[in-house]
Amino acid sequence: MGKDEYIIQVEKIAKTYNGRRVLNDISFALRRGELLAILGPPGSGKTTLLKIIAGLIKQDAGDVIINGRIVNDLPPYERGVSLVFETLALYPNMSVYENIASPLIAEKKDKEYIDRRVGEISRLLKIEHILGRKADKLSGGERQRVAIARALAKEAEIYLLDEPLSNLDAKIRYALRTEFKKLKSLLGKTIILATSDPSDALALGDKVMLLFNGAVIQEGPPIDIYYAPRNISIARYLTGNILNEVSISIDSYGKSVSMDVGQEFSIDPYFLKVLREVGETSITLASYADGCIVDKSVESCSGIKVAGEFIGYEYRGSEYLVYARKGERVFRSLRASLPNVTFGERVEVCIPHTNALLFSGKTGSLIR
Amino acid sequence: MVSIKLVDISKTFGSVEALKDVSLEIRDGELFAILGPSGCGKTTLLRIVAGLEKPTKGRVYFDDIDVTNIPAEIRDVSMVFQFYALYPTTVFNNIALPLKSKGYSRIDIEKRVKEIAELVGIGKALNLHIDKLNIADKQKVALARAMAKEPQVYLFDEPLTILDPVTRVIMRSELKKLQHRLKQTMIYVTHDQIEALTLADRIAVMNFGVVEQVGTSWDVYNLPNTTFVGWFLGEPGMNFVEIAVDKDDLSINIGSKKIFRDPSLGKKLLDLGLEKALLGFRAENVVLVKEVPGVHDPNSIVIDGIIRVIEFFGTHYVVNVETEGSEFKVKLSVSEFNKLMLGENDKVKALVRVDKVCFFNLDNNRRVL
Repeated sequence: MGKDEYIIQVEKIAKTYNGRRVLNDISFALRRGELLAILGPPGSGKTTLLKIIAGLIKQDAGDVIINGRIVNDLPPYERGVSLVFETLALYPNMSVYENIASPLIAEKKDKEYIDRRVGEISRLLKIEHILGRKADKLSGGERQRVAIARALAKEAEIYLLDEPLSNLDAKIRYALRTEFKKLKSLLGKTIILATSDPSDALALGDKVMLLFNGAVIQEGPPIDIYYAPRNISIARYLTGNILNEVSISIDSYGKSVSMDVGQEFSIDPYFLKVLREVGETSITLASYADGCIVDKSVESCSGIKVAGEFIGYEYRGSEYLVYARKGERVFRSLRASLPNVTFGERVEVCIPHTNALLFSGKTGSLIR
Repeated sequence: MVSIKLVDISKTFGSVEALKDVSLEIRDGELFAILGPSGCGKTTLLRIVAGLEKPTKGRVYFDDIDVTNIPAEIRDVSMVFQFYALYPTTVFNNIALPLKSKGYSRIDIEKRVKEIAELVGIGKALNLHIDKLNIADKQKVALARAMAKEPQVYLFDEPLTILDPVTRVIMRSELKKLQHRLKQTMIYVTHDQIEALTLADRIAVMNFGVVEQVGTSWDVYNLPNTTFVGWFLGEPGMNFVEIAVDKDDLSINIGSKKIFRDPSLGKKLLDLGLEKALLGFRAENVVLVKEVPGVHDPNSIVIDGIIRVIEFFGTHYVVNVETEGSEFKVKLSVSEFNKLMLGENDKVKALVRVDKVCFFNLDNNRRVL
């Protein structure tokens, strides 16, 4: 595949602030119309990376290549890139027109240009008929379209959006995400979006790039990130640190097996086979909430079984998220109904091996 | 033992109408949640029950006694906010304080503090300074102190929002256990639907100063009285699609598409004087198929559509389907999704069982069927 097929390439970008490496050899490439979600906790370097791409910060090393041309020395306004910081919340007292025009007015564009551009973008998003209306008089769906129109008001080939969905009410956030994804394909623009919320990244991204401590630790389609996280810290991050985990160890003679969550357990021989195959003394099995069973008793568990205590649940209308605990370890199971137990009672936790991710006990990296 | 009755409560702050003719009956011993988005008036309502705020109009009754003009101190309620306001001393002293002011003897105080501390599960921590406790235990102390007041009614204002998810789940269970033991009336205000659905015996869903519905978790989720309640509850919220009844064959239609041929539903709607209505259904109650043989299932509505957007959420997918200019969401497990091999722009049929649909009046957004 020729390099010039990429609209943007970022190659080995590095940046150091006050002796601290904030970005370490970051590379990626995007095709026209793709959406890359950069996912990472606050302080992982997401904003710095966006600013370097936009030309607001100069990198120490590496290249930003747009349409096949190195733009390292180009000023921001010649890069064809628009960096949007604000969240997608609207100014309630302004009209739709004023909301969409606000980033253009801030750039001191002339009236004629603004009229043309607002007209163009509002036609595309089918909101021409409400341009005169006040933002607080809009329906939910209209408001979302206006917010997206404002974010994309500046003409650019590549949009860089920094936490566009933060600080929004959960309901609006949910709806906006869908709308955004729908319009993205309509507009055909390339978007790089930074977020610290795994749901945003998984739901929106064509690709997700995980940035931890200034380094890319994994990149790929959302499904690959979710089902094959390169190491256990990624899986933990994706679940808000409530990953179902059990570590199994085997002694140096390869005989005695133990688990870090106590003695009352059963282990499918499959895991022992894996342990021997990979030649490690310990592995950690992990599963997401939909790959774990918590019940009064789990008769046949072809996986790993742990006895725990039922500590509570969340009722979500359509399903229950059931919580169990063994010592400090918490397990979550997504179920259609509640187990027939009371708070504090003994329950069995089963992680079937078909749902388990296996990580090396030593390095935490994914085995299978 | 207290039941609480609110009759036609209104409250205005300047020109802002925070509450409009709110009437509620909270039963003795029930855990009653008031749920709604920020600014819906739920906290104002709680403060009126507590006596911290006077209604502009309407009456408050505790067991048929009009307490509207009775000040907060003598209403015998205990208000628990974010459980933080503890005194920098031992757990024991924090719990003992309300008992001291009630004039209990030293021996009685000791006995009572121990009892309460056991009940909330901090019996072993009595001599610890509160700085030594984790957040969950601090909240238990705050709860114990509220209990030491021996109130007739407990009022909670979003007490768990600052906690991490696991602690929150544990505290909810503790609160539920406590309620079963104390059998005392508790009112719990929250903006978090999961909290309300999980905890409450009954929920009042509020919006813009109005109570939209009162019911059990199951009721408000599955049979919302208004489109707001349907939309607000659930992630995603309920789907709404405008339909019309064909007056000749009584079929149900979206635009030019027939989605239900059996005349039963159409007849009911026409009997109500409605030729048009909003069809409501939940995303998880839709079965998606690529092809259906030409049979018309009398028990399901069938909507043809095109997949516009697919969103992956890890444990499930949400598929957005467009039909005749309307859109709705379908929630699928990962295995269901994979089995169907769906892609954007695919043509699909969405089946929803008739017992899983609601109809709403287009004029006032209230449920009619």
